[in-house]
Amino acid sequence: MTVTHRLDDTPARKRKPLFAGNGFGSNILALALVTLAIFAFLALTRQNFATWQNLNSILFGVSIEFLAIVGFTYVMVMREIDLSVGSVFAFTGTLTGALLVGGWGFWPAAGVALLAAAAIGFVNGFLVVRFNINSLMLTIGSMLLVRGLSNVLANDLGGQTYPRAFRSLARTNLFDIRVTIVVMVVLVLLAWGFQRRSALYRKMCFIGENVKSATVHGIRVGTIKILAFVASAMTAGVAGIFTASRITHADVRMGLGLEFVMVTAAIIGGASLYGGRGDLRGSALGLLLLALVLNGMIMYDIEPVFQQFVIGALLIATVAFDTVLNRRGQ
Amino acid sequence: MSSIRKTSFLRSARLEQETLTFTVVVLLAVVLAIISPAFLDPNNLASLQTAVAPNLIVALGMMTLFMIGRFDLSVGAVMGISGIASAMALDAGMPVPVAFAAGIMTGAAIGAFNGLLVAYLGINHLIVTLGVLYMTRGVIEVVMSGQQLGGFTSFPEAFSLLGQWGLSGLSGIFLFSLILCVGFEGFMRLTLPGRKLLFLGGNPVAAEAMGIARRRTEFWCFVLSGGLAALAGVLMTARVGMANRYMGDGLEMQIFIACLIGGGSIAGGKGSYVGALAGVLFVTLLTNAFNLLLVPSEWQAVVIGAVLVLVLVADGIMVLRKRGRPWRNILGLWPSRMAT
Repeated sequence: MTVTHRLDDTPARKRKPLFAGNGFGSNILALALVTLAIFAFLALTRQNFATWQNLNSILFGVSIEFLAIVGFTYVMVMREIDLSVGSVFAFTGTLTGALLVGGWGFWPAAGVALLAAAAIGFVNGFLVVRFNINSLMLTIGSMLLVRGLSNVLANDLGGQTYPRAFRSLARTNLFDIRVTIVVMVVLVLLAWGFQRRSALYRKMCFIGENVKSATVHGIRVGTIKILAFVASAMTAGVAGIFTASRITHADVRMGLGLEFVMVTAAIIGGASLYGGRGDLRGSALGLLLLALVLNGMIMYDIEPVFQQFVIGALLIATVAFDTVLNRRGQ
Repeated sequence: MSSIRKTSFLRSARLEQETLTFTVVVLLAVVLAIISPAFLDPNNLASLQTAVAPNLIVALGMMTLFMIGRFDLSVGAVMGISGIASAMALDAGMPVPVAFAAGIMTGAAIGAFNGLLVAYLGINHLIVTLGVLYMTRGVIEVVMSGQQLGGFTSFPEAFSLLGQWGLSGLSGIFLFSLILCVGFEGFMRLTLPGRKLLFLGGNPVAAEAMGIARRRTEFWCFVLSGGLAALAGVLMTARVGMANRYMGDGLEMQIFIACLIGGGSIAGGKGSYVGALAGVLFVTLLTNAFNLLLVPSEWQAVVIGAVLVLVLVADGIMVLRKRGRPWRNILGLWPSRMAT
């Protein structure tokens, strides 16, 4: 009796409106409002905030970090995490620069660097899937390893600036806007479609919710996970190439702590450490929110060393929120 | 009729991995002594002792957390800030015991904060301790921003003596850390609360059903870890004679790896304090080897990361074997896709 009742009940439920309820994409509007409020607050209280130059530089920074968070978000959807992104980011950028300094052409250099990034991602994913290792631990290991390799490269370069053609890459404009900003907008639109229409995204959410059940239902859990890790490393690599071009020389501090900025941004944007959720639009907004907060702190002359404290506190606060929300849902 | 094989001592005492690590440590020491004449130099041995001592003290707290299936990445920063706290207390003219207590209390308070968030709010311990690591480093930068690289250098005699006493060539804090290690090992093996730690880590659900207070134990383990890290920080500040803002930077990963190599498991329910000693010796010897053989320090991170990945893979294989997966399934080219 109860079963028939339930069966009758299901189709009667109306489809939820786009931005409501606690389903997919529910917190995007709220998040956008919070971001807008912070933006309005800063624009009203600080004169030099709402200048074209400042906003452009914030968006430019966000758009590069956004490139790195694409794969990362989808790794988080599957209840895994990839903490090696910051290191892969630095490694790929530095490797591209080192090859260019060594006289390679841009495309071969970038291609080789991206292949190296993909290989790191594949190893991460393969080890996680095959030996059932906690990805958090494993990627801490690969984070250290890749960071070491990247520093070896950077020290060999010894602060040389990259060739001019490479330095101008990040400053390329498309329709009078930085090309990475255009790419970000395009990717967010694509992700919207991907998350609403694609079976792959549904499968990924399923894996994040319940791996065993997903396996039983014939989803290729291992393959999808490995692909996500490869994607995470490669998107981090692309962002790294742009950043290397932007900072114009090899720097051992490049991408340091990026992984925690990204965890924070992704969780603010609706992803969860407990898997099954994650939204690229939200991640983009999360990055924008963090960038606005940090920029606002500079505008208010708060000591820059205090930023570390704020990032740590925000990380704990968002994860605490995530945990409490998840407990209620269970 | 086949007789039942007697369990070996190492297996029944759960010291298999510890023995393996100790063997590797001894081999490493012998190899180093052969290829580098500077290894057995008294100066090098003395610096090894002072490198092992604080790491071991921190590793004891970390190993306690490993036993219950948790870990604490904020220990390096806690070590730094508690050393600074005691130095500032001395600078304000407080007596040595008060300054000592101030340092320890700082660490224990940070540990209590970690424990509160992890045990009672149920937040992921990696995120909490990482966030606290960032926050603590931020506070250190703010506190030390007016100072030189190492501020507060004038300590009273009694405080410096805390870190610098010795017994016929053996460093005092090294002896102290060894005694502490033996004490913890005895606590873990011989007393009921000690056994409860391993039980809790091995099977939290069963342990809670048996009436072990999981949350309270977790909380106090985090306080212990913070307090021990603070102890190491204060002793090291006394030893070097100044409050250094870079003290303990990146230490958490070394301790983490030492505990994993020394027989701990991130899943909990495994590990011993003797193993922590073995792991710390291994990591310290590895660092020492890099310095003696003049390898650039960047390669150190590469090797430590590679060792961590290898240990995790080995740990993963062991876990899969214990669940009865055949070798073909673990290492074969085309394993069947099985639910884990």
